[in-house]
Amino acid sequence: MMRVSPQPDATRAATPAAPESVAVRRSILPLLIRFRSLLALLVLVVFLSLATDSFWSEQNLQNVLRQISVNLCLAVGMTLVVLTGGIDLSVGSTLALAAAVTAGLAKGGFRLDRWNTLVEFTPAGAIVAGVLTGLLVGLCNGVAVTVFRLPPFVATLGMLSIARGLTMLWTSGNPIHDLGPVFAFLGNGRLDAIPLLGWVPMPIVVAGLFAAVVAVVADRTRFGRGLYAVGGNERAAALSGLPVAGIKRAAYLWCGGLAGVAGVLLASRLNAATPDAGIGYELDAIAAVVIGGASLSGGRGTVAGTVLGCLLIGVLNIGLVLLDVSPYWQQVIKGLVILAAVALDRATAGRR
Amino acid sequence: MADVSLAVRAGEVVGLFGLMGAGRTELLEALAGLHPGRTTGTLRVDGAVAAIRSPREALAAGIVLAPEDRKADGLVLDASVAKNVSLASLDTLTRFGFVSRRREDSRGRDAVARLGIKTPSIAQAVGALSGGNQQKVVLAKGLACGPRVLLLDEPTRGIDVGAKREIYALIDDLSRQGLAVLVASSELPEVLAISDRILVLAEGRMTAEFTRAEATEQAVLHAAIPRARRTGAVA
Repeated sequence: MMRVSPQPDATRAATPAAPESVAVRRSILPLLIRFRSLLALLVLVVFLSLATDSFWSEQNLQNVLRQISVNLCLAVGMTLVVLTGGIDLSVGSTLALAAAVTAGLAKGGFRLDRWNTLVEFTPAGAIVAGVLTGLLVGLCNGVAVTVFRLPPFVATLGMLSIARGLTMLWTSGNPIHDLGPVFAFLGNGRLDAIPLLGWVPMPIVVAGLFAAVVAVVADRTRFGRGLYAVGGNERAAALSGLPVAGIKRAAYLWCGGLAGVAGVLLASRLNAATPDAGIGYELDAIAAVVIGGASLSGGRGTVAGTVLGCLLIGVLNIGLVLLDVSPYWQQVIKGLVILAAVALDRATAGRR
Repeated sequence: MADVSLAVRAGEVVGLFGLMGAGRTELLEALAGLHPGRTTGTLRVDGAVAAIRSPREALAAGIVLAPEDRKADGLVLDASVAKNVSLASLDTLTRFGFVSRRREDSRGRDAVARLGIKTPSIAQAVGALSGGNQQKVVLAKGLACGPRVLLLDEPTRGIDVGAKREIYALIDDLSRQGLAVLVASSELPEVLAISDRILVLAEGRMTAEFTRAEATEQAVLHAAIPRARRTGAVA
């Protein structure tokens, strides 16, 4: 009549103290595992500085940082969504839409046919509109996931297509060129005015600032705590009185907004918005998050880890170019790195 | 469930006994705001009617549920002891959206000391603790909200004997401090040992109420057996 329930946890005492022979393993191995992305990055950097002449050239470092900045924005936003146990496949399309909106408004303004007027935009206004576009897409994703209860994969897959289509509609399928000096500075300028940091490219400054803000948000705020709790155990979070739906919506909102920022950065760097920009970018963003140690099932990961993951992918990308590896092999190698990172994560998950 | 009416006074431990499927968990969950829209009735805390449609509102009304399945419903296993303890009371640690880690850690340390949670540190992931210590973390999380009413669903399930005794002592201690405690359990000896009063559920209905003096194993068990089977046994 009484329930017979297995009692696995009664026998599983808190990890017993290890004897001295294991002590060394316990102190070094976890450290190696914990900082594996950093180690991999260091190994890669050392290898590239030995194997190539140009890795440490100012030109190359600026290239790496410029190229990373777009993925950094996307990946940092993606981290928040992944922490909740979700995913956002729409960031590449969102980036393209935001870039197109910003470029279109900056270039030609917005024509209201009904009143026969043209609303002109300053560069700043156009940038704000682009970021707002990203936020709006993020809001839609969040509502689809929390109100209509669509699985994140499906909801954002739909949005991937919708945002791409809207981009085509907005641009009529044509690229928008020559955005003006503000964008040129944002995309290709440097911190010339600041001593010592004069060589730092603008886009990485912007992306880095956002990454820092998001890192603080994830680590220190109540919202950040909520992200981890919702992803770690959604039922426990709900039972503890946390506004689960609101936390998820906010995560998608951040992610969309940062995709908007990434779109503005990309348009600035290329001095153009093309309707097919950002195709496949979601994969690099997700890869950075995963390489950074986040679990796709949620609840585990850090923004700092994602930043490392971004650096690793960025350095790898450019390293393979410097080494003259064929683009086809580049893709294969990148895929292998992602698999290795996740496999290592799985293999060591029990240690934490 | 239907027609269940109960009162738990401050300083009282009320046992809720029933066989599997009697509705113990459902009753506690309903009180904690987990089944809005599927429940009717009134709930009063300290005489004031509390309209509870979510766990958040239940917490605000001073009602805390320590769920039966602590791993699935109670804890974030990857997160630290300190973070789990503060999970339900984050609002009180937050200023301008930022969580004070200093106050969170001291809340965690207080909980470890007060409940005797055996853990290497408050930074330890709760997933690595034993069942009894995990249960204490669940209780600490609830207590950190400063509740008036404590709903415990099978609080000693899957816990070793020593930790069980500590949980019983804690329940006793909390009721002395003026909390109203409702303990649902399928272990009859446990219910008899810790309750001031015992309510019996069978098939979603309340079938009997005993004071501690009246309660015997036989009487309680008899009230808990579903009616259909009881008549069947006679015939």
